[in-house]
Amino acid sequence: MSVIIDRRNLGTRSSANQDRLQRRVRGRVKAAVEKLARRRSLGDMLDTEQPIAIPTKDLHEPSFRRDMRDAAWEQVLPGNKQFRRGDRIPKPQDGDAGDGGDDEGVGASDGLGDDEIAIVLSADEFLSVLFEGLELPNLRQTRTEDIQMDQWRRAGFVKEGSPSRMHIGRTMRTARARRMALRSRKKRELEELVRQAETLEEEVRIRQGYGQDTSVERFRLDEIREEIKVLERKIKAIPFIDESDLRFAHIDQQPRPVTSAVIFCVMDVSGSMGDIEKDLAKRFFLLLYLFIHRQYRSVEIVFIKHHGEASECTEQEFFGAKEGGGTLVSPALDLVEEIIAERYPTEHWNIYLAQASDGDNAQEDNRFVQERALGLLPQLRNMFYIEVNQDQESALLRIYRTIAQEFPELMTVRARRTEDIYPLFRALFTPKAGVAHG
Amino acid sequence: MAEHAAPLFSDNEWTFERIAVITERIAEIAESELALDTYPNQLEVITAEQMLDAYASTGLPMYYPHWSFGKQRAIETGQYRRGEMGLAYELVINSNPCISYLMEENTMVMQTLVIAHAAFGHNAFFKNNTFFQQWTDAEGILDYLEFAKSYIAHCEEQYGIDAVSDVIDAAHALNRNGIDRARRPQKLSTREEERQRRERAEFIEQHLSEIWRTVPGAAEAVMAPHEDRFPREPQENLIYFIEKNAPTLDTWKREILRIVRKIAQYLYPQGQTKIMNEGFACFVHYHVMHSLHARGLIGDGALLEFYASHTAVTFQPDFDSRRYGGMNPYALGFAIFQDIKRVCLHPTDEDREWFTFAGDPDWLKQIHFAMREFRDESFVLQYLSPKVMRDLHLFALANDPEVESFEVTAVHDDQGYHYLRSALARQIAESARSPDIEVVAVNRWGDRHLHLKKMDSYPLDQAEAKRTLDHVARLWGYDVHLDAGDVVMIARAKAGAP
Repeated sequence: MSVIIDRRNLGTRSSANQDRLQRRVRGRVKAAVEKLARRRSLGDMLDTEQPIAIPTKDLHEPSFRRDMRDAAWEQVLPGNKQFRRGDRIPKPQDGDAGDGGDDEGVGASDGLGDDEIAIVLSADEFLSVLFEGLELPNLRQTRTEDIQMDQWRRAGFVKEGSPSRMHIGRTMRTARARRMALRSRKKRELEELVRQAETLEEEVRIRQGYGQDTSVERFRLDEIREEIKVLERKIKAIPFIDESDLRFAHIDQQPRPVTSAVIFCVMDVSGSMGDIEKDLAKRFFLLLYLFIHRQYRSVEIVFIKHHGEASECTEQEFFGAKEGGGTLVSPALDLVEEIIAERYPTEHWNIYLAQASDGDNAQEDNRFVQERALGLLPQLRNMFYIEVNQDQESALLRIYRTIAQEFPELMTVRARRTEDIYPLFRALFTPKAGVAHG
Repeated sequence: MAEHAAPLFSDNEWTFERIAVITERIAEIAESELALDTYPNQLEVITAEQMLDAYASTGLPMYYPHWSFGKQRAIETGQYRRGEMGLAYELVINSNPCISYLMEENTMVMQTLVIAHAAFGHNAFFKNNTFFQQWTDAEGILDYLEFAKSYIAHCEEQYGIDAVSDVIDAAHALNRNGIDRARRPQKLSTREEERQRRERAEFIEQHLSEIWRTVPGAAEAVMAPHEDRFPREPQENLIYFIEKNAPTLDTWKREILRIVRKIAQYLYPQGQTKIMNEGFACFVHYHVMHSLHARGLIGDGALLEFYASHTAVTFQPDFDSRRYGGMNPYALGFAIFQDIKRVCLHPTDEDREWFTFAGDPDWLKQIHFAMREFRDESFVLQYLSPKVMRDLHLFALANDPEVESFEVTAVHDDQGYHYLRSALARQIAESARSPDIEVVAVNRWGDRHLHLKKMDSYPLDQAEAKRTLDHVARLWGYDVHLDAGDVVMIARAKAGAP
């Protein structure tokens, strides 16, 4: 009579509802995510699931309800201690003693008094909101032969596959061909036999006319008629559709050519960069790194840190860097140029350069920087310079600004506080109207 | 039955074997001692997360997706995580087979209690209560939910998630005004439903325009509007009326209205029998647990654990307690069912005066009769005894908005019993009912406006009504008027809304 089923491994079925809920409050979620992105450290944010408070009034579900506040009502209550009939009890001041008649409907009431609910975003959902609508500017299709992304493609037809992929048209065509092929040979045989039978019948008639013995002919005739019957049965028995006719649409993973791109992240780690500046710079690069990683799986990233000299490093070394010493910017740009020449020929690659610095540079180096930048820029799709500096604009920034008048692909921004980073980041990567991309 | 059987378990860990064995024993007790007639049981072990899922969809095992269920789940997950809400240890679905959920966190004693309570108590109630028999279709509900889910998925694919959500939002707003109270719904069946859906779609496409054939303006002068009263009688089922008569609503939207309406209709008896249903299930588990103990199948420790949760569930906080949240249906229902048995077996003079069945040795017959033939309102009116009113210390309080203080209109004494009983019955009936808003007229030959009227005397929450009316106007496609007694509200249809 009773069946016991273990459903625990079935997982939850709330994701569809959760999706629709997030969709509904997208604006709120976006605002909350951006607020988080400004304040908290990104590592923290990605570590745990992100609860975002949404006021329930945004999610109100109206219905026809009673309003008993100013109405006459009568209510039966449990727990009488000393009341007698006719007693008068003063009303509570806030006057919210409704009859509770309507609170079980839709909505969040139930007397729990919560006016907010928490929507929990996974790290992935969080990032997708964070980077919504952003893209790498000026990305161009370069090498088509370059293989970077797999994609499921239709790839002809095969004889085996799942029923959901069965291709009816193909299957019917094959079946028809098979039926025709099998039938035509048998039909030819049949026609032959029929002709033979007719000849024999004719013979029998003639012989009978002459009073001859016809037993041999009739025997043969019976044999042929039997064969005809068998053949007719066989023709009938040819199946309309046979397992061998089945054809299934085949899909296959095929490499899809994708635009190749590389981003150079150049960070100043010299002694002049204070903790705040380093934090600002790292924040920017972390955002950039996450963004690239998420939206452009195949984009390569080259990390370069520099003080007096520049070196290529891993992402761990880059984000963990705590160095000091004097500052020279031009060696970093030299290194970029070297690496480009070595590994990223410009005709095949979209090349971006993002540089963060407090702007501090040896006076005599600025001239070289200008030279290198002018040399680099024609090879770059874009160059982003973010100055993390609390005091005043540096000579370096002024140089870049001057260059930017000639090369609009050089974009400069200046961040003073943690909260500035995310909006600046958005500003840099929000596609501008009229700019070709894709 | 062996008097000194060894307990079936002592360490309180549940296993599938133990559940199977105890279910068999409970089934035996339910049949031999309580004569329960039940649907076959399907017990499903689930996690707390899954229980929260089930909560979010009103306990239904399957539902179309909608943001409001996500919201509900977010609320409940929050409360659960903060420890403000314990999960009900049972959830049961009025279906055949009858599906009961067992949470994996439960101890073996709790699983036993849940099985007795839900898989036998609620199950028997679903199968035998007349109201459930007439108004719901336990055979068809799972199929119907499947149909609803796939139909709505299909609509989302074709018309977009947001467009579908808009229709469901509007339908949900009218959920409690989409019930046929006087007419029994038809049985549900997926294939039949799908066939009917096609027929309806065709029919509507062919005929709907006929109602609206007359060109407004040109016809107005010719027709005498007062002779064309439509609808002839006021209509209480707003969703149904809109579904059938909205001038320009797309067919798929009508179908969604129908789905929401059908599910609301299916759930309707649960709201009308909460006290009885829970009361009866508690009565059953109480009997079964004692019987298991008497047979030596569960130990003393298990019985004590059972008492702890039983008293927690059937506890009625006083009106002035911070824990008070209205009348507890478990407490009231259980008290009344236990009292029916008491009145049969140990009647007092007072009981004989109040109940004709007092002293009937066949208490089981009386319990079955009560369980079958009533709903909460009539159940309380019929069976709430002076003893239960005294035990619960019931009293009635009246509010006159013109007067500075409340008045105690009755207490649990000889003058008060009858008064209290009918006041409580009335209160139960009212609280289960939404405001009575009906369609009184449609201006068919003119501006196509829809006219609604509030038919009961309770004041309406106007802010809510306004927002609900906006939903109605969105579906109807033309302006909607609501005569709410002291005020007339109008919701304007946006151009090209539906």
